[in-house]
Amino acid sequence: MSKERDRGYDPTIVGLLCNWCTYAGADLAGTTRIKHPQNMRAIRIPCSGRVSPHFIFTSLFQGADGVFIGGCHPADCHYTSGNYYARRRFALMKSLLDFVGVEPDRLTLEWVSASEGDRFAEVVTEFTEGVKALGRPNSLKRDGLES
Amino acid sequence: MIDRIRNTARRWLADGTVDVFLGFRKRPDGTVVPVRIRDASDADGTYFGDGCVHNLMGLVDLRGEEKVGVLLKGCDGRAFVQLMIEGEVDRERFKILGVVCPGLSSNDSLEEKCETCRYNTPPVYDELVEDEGVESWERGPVYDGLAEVESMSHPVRAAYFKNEFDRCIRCYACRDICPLCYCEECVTEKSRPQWVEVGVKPSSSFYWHLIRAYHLAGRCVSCGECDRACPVGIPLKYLNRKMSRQVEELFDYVPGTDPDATPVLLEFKEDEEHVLCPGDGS
Repeated sequence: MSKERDRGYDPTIVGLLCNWCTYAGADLAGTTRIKHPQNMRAIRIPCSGRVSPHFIFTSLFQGADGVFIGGCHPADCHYTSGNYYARRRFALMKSLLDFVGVEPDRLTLEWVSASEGDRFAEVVTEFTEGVKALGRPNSLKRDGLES
Repeated sequence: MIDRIRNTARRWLADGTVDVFLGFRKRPDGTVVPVRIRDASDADGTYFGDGCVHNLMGLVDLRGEEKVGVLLKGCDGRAFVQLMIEGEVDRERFKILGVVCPGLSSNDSLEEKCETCRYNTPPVYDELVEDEGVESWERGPVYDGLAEVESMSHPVRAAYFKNEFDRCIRCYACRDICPLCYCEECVTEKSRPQWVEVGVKPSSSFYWHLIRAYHLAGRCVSCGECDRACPVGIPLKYLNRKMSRQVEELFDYVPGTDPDATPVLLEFKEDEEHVLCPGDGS
């Protein structure tokens, strides 16, 4: 999935975006033609609280170089509190993955509202640059583990 | 101490307080095994001392109807409390005979889980037995072994764990012995979708151990049973300890110590954005 091309290491990033905020924010970034790296494959989810650890683990095992989760800002969750639960779970998932060899730069949880197209482009750019800087596939990539 | 345990078990069984009593028995060859007794006359066969490492909460039928008497050390008592706050055990169905555990040894040295023991007395009990000279203690955290792993670079850590998990034969003893792994259908047995591959391969074993550790995050009571049960010596304790340390540092929560607590991932504080970027390098 990750490709070495002339323009260098080109990571694949899985984006799990909350339907009510970040997905709409991404849409806004697109309609207002704000430029940002194109490495992220957006997956629309109902809420950041919907993110199961399996989504993250499976993405990494199948070769994603990074996983970006986008949710509503604290206090703005469409379902009142899904993002608060997501925050606790994400903190533990990230430290577990860090412990077994996944660089913290490969995972992020960001709050982006539907009106923040510019912020969406900003955090995606920053995250993509961070993953690019690592310059190698993630340690849990299945092909790597099996070799 | 043993006499008091035997007397209590006998009394509870004889007067019908409990239908079954879970304790330990020492076999003629010196090994210790868990035992279920239903007859008061068998109470003299129970034992407590070195070798009683098993967490008897792992052997309880959580969904049964019988009244259960059970002997619990500090670590086992924490499992009981954690199960209780998760709504999995009915306090009324259980009579708990707590022991103030002096720490258990094998071959003249203290068991590893006892070296890092923080609570030697169960947080809840109906009756408590103690030896003279052994006091209840509450000790600070000991998270041995984590610094060694964390001193490695990320690819080296992954290689280290891959090497450990490669020995896994996927017997699921770690899950089956765990008092907190009570799901009727484990995620590893689900096929729609099949998150965990069935074949014994480095990647699927790695995945299994990740999800096992994560499912116990904020719930593991450090009884060490998974480590003891593993037939190939995978250091599951490091993963559990890492999660325990994070949960304590980020959320100030120690599983199974407070009967009035809410499980840590089932609650939140509005003002805890700092958990996303903890300052310990993780």
